[in-house]
Amino acid sequence: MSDDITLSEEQRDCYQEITNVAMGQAADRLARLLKVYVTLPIPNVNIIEINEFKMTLKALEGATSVSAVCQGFIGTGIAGEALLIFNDASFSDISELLKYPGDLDEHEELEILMDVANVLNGACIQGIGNQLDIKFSQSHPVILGQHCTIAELIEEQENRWKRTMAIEINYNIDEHKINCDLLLLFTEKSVVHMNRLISFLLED
Amino acid sequence: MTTSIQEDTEFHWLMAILQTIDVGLVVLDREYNIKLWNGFMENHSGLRPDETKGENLFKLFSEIDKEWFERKAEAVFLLNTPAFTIHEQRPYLFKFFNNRPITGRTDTMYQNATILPLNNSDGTTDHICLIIYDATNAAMHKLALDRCQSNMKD
Repeated sequence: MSDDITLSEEQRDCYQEITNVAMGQAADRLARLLKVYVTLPIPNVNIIEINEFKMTLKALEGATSVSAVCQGFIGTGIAGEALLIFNDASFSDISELLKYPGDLDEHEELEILMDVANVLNGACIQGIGNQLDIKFSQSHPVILGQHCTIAELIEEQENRWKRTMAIEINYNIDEHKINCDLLLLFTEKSVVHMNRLISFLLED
Repeated sequence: MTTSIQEDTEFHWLMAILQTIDVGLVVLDREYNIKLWNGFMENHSGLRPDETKGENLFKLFSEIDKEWFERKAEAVFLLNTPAFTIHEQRPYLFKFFNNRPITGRTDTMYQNATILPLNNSDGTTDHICLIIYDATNAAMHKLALDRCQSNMKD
């Protein structure tokens, strides 16, 4: 089953375009909500091996300036997880962005981290869902390293999957010095289903 | 004819389920007035639907931080995506008593909550749905685990 996961150049372009449109819509709504300009690069669509993913997780472990929030999403036949990685996130920048006043205690810091992640994830996931005509439901966000330990997570990945599709987007909000990577990971089975869905878009 | 009877029956089933399901459901409009109040909310708050319908959420429940909640909910109205709160960060939204008042080991109910956008037929959002999950058991287990871990460190 896992050997089936390959992307043709055409399919890759299609996913990139779908994500691009979704991001455009997301950026528009984020701009209206947060009153900021969001810089968006072209999304990266790749097949990643489990080892690469483990390395990403390892890099998160122990790093004090990096935080990551993951959130599952599921729709008809498609399931995956959105992983939002904040590079050198400072809570004061984020709280300023979300207009949380005053000093924050530890719980409030984590809460705004989840809020930001949820807004960025949600805006993108819904945009992709709209184009594929799928209504995704999102689960409660989980902060890696806070709500679960990363070492356990790496161990648990073993043998559960080998390679899958990942869409990577780099969000940049210059005004607030916020830089983060959104990683959309799909399960192996979902990729097969999504390839079928986009085949309708690719037909002339 | 039979299909419409069938549909009616299914509709009644769904209504009965919504009313009795062990999850709180509240529909709010743009001004945070309560539009729907299911059985779970009625039982735990002690307020009947006719006492809450049309009333302002923040007036009835002063424990909800208005500014904080509005900030979360505005994102739902505008972005049309759900928002979440979890018990680890915010133990509860509504101050309800524990489901097991005698053996429950805590007075208040820990809650996870989802704020869901409800679309109009034209795709805009004028109403949101609050879904309240009772997370007391999970929270108690987690607290017990934390206690256990800190005991081991000592």
